[in-house]
Amino acid sequence: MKNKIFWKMAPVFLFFALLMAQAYGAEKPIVLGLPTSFFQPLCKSGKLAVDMAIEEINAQGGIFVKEEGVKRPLKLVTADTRCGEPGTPVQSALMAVDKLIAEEKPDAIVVAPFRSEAMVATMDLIAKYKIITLQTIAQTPKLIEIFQGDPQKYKYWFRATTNSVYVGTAAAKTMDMARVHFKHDKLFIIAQDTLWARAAADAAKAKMEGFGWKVVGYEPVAVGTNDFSAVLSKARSSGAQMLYVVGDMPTLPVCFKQWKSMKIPTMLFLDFAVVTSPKAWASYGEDLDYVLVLPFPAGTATPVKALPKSVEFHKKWKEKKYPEMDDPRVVSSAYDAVYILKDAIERAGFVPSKDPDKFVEFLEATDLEGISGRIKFDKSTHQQIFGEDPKEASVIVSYQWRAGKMVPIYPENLAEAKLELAPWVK
Amino acid sequence: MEIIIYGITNSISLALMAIGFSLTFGISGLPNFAHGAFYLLGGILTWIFLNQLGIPYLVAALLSILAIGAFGFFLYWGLMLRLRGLAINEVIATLAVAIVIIEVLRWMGFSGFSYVLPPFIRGSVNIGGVWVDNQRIVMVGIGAALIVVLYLFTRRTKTGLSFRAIAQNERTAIAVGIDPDWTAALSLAMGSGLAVVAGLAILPLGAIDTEMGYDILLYALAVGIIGGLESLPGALLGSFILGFSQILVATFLRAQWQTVVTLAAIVIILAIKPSGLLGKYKELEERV
Repeated sequence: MKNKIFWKMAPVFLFFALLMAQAYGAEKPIVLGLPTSFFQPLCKSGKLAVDMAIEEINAQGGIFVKEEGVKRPLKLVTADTRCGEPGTPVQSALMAVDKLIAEEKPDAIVVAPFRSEAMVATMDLIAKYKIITLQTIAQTPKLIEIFQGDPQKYKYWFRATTNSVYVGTAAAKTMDMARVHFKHDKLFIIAQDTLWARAAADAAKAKMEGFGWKVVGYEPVAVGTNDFSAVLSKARSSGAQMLYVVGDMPTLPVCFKQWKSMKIPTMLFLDFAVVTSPKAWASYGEDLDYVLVLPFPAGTATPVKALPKSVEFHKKWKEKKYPEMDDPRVVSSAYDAVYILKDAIERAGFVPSKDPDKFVEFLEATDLEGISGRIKFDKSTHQQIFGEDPKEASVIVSYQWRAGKMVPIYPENLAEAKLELAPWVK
Repeated sequence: MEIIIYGITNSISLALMAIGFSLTFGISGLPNFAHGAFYLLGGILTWIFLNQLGIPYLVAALLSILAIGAFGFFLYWGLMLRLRGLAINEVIATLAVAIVIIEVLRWMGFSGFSYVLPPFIRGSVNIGGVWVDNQRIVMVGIGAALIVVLYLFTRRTKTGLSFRAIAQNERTAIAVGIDPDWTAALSLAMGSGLAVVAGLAILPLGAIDTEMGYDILLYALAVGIIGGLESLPGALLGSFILGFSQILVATFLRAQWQTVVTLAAIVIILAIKPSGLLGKYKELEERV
């Protein structure tokens, strides 16, 4: 009788024994924290990019940690900072980050809060917990100022993506191509009347004037403006040859649709996240034709032939059947951030949380190929370095919409076509 | 010429936004603060019918108008009937409905500019040296047709005449056998349906975004306050004053003052003639 019971229970014992053996045998995961605002499309896609990188690394057994002599898998923990939702105070975002660090004890943080204000406030938390952070969204130069104010305190922070200065410069250089190719030199600016958009417009204005352009008009437009005919007419009568429009308000699509329907004789550079996605053509169609856009950094929105990792990234994204990105900006940086950490852990031989001060040195020495080109950090700013040659640094690429495709047109060494004027401008 | 053409198109778009609100308020005295939300919901429903269910555009548009119209009808019987005559409660209730609709749509992810209705006719035409997109021409056509249809409806049909009777004197209308609740429910249904018509005419000019729900209500209120909240001719006059003011300000001053014009007009009219230019709601008190 007893024997019968034993044999009946044997498979159950065996199952639990196997389970325990597996639990003891599996290495402790390296925990990555991802606190950001999942309301924002670019954050949703950013998380998918991080998931993809983690799956790839775990499929190879994880990251080899030399000091421990084992490969450890990666595990992702997330927190919604909600800082991309209207009306969420910075304090709430900070609490979400604090809770994530205190409860989940991640070995490092990737991506980080969406809004610049929240990221600025998070800098002190990073310093307090001495947690290595590869931040990939907020673009404000203020973060560099904070870092440079006390590099010893804030050394755990690295920006593994572009910043607004790099993006502004790339935008200005893209527009300046019209001066080089078509001898254009008159710029008209339409900026949404909000602080960030006015700041971007001011930066573009200064840069363009530096290149020899005359700013023939600068029109801030109120949020909610739903007819741009008057301001576009001003652009026409000012003799402008390039129109720079910056904003993120829901009625902004009216502006570029009117630019086309009114046949305003200018080129249009649109600093508007939505139209940087290849998906935008499905929504706006030929209204986007000839519009210049800049999804940053290079390769995040569409593959660039000269950047093999970007081709690979988009191929994998499709294979995973991930949804097309609504807002592709900095999504590739989230993916690269995981590989930057992997590379640094393998070189250091230990995980970031073991000795964050020492780990900083390994991150500073980063030199690997990423989606946007060569990834290196500037030791004096902890900012990823961007340039125009992907063999030397990471790059930013501008595109022109042509018959449903985003065609790289800047920088010229990576361009797949030449800048073209819209038919009604010629 | 550009000022005239775009002044007209801008004015008609404002009139379309406001006409449904004015119709409901004029007949039943019901301030439908969910008007902007219905505009938005109608646009999104049409987008879903068109892109997710593959229903032809015109059928999708018609279905949305009917669906939102029915929603307005049942909203009256289900909620507003209990609040009749309590002006503040009516405002709070309809505003709550608006917030629920807009925030649920936001929660469902209907923001992010991917939701775009195609124009009825692509391309643009040159009118007296001014290029105008065909959709704006269609929009002006819809606006003009709507004004004519509403004029005929309120003067030539039994239901329309009962609408006017209730609007002029509810007690006398009841005495001759007109059911005020039925009329109010119908007016809310029509106003809601008209919000969708406005959305279908205007939304192809840009994109659909949840934030618009609040903006449309603001414009409808501004037009109503200027022209007279309960007056359809007032709504038309208000939209032309506001539409041309916006274009003139953007042309001769700066575009950033365009929305300030809207708010300034509300303040000025409320200070000078609270009933609005053609409104008679508090005309007697104003004279006194």
